[in-house]
Amino acid sequence: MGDAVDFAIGEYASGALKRGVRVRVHGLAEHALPALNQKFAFFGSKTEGTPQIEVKLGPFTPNREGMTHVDHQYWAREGFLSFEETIGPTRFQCEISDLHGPTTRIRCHATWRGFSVARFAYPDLAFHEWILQPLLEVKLARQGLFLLHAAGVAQAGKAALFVGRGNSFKTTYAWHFVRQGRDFLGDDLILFDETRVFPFPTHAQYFQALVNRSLENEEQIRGWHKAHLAWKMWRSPSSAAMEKGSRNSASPEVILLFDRLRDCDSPWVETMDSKDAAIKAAVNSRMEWNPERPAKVRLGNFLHAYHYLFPGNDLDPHWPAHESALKALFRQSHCLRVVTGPRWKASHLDAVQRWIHPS
Amino acid sequence: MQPLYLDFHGKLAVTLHIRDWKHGPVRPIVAKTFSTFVRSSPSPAKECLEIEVGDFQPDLQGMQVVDDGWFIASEKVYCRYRHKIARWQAAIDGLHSVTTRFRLCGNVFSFLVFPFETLYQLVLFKLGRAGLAFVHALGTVQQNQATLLIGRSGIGKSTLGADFIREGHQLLGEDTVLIDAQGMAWAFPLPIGLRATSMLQYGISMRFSDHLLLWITRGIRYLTLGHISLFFKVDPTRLGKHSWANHAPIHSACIAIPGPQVTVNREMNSDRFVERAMRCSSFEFVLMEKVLDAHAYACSGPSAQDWFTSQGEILKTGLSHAQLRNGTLPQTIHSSTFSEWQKAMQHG
Repeated sequence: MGDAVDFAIGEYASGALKRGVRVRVHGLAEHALPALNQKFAFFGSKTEGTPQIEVKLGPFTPNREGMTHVDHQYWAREGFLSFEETIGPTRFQCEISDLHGPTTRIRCHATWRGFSVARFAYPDLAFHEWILQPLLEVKLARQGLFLLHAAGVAQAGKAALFVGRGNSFKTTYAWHFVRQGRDFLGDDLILFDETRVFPFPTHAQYFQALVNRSLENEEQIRGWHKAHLAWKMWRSPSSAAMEKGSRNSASPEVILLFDRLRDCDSPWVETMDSKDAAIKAAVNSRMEWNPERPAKVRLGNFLHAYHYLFPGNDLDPHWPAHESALKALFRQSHCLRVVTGPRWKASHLDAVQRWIHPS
Repeated sequence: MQPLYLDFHGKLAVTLHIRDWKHGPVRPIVAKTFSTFVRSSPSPAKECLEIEVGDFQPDLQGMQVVDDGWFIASEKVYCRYRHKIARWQAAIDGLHSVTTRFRLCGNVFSFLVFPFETLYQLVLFKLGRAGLAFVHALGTVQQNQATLLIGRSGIGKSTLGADFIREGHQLLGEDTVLIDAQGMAWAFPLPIGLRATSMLQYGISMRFSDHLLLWITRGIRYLTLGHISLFFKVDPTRLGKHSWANHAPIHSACIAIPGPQVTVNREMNSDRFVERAMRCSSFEFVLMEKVLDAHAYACSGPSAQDWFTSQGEILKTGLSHAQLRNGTLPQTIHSSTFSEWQKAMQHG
């Protein structure tokens, strides 16, 4: 077992964390460190101060003394939640304590098809996506920072965001523009407040792709495609800049919202005059839309369960602050609807190129 | 084959056409599930859901690819999904219009895992459009007065409900109760523990190797003792319909929270109450939520959140009507047995 790993997600000013969330992970196997470091390379530094989220991985015996049985798989008392969640073949046993306090502690043990994975690998993206991310969102929102499901590139303090559902070419676009020499902001999540966006390059999608590669058919091809992109981006010259971290924020200049039409030969771009429609699309792009996912699983399920017993606090997953910040952000930038076909073509890039600020 | 006609309280007409021999078993499944609503002739209701089970060629012209396997156009949804060896394709036409057409086609294995969840949620969605909001609750009736026990699954609704039945109450719904804006509760009877069996299907899909073992363990977890004791008392397919009521004005509504002692909170304001009630049911609506959100993403129609807001409005007006009639407020209750419940309701 290695030491604790720290990373801090948030806004940086001159190399130090200005506001954000510090996360500390214990109980990681030695050889799982590189995976985590790659995933959070950008944020992976020893940070001073107490962490807001402390994760302890590995098997444990849940103690449900004095807890209320909220649902079949959730137990709770004030500030404390214990649950089991099954997402595809991965099963999580999880205990979250001190939800309202300054340091929230997570104990998590993941098994994959009955095998313990925490011993030899970082629990895959499912942990990041289904347990860590909802908590991160809550903690970040307390400091006025929010997450958006988007990819983004930046240059000279101006950012372009790619917003859309899964598999709407967000990553591919980002990769192409990074190759042209722009800064990489992130390919799955973007950190933002009312006026600016902050980089969140986690490589999360790539590692999901690597995890998914055991799937069948199209998923496998798609997975390898993303892994290939990851490899290329890793080796590209701008990745060095990414690792060192131009931790600068950027103001969003243009926001592209993707639509894929099934029978669209040549892509086109149109201006979205209605910001409300753009915001709606952005909000709806957030939920993972995967037909393979069990129907009962939803992002932040455990927060819903907790909120049922203890309403009226800022752990509400429908917290309206997110939407008001999104409104402010969209109002100051140029929103475009990009209509493309179902398959990637070189002409997709040409259609968008002139809207992204010239290099 | 003669189509199957269902009539939901004169508000929603459902017609099931089986177009194909291999989908034959779907008809008895639906007929047994909704046995109380089966009619011999088509219902005159305006709101209409036409289900066609059988092979069809989807018209994907002009549809948007929301994600792999999912295509959306205005008012139209088409998706393909699979469950082990069973494959399905489904199409919804006229999602937000009065007549909705739901087409479904699978392979020969598909009836084993008939996607009941989809159909169930689509019916609830259509009922909501017709003005009957659903709550995830157990409803009982005595002397034309309905009591609702609202709560998340596994909280002990069925256990407490079994006590109610023992005391001579009739059942309105074991899992879901419909509420209209006039404060009337309407029955939605399903075979007891049916949702639990549909959970079994998800249980099977989660694990690969030991189907049977998991079936047993899942079964014990989700099919609680409350379900089983209720099952032997009032199963619509066993006892006939005499133990079920059709509709009754709401007399009291409680949100159930399990706890050691009985407390009734009468001070709860109705906005907060409705919000919490919606949270119990929102958990049961995930599939339709996905459909609505995807449709909203593609066509900027109402999203799942808008849908819940409109449902909450119906619920709010209904409960305030009931409140005016009875002079009581909505309540939260921590309770375990009927006698405790009764005592708490009398003395507050």
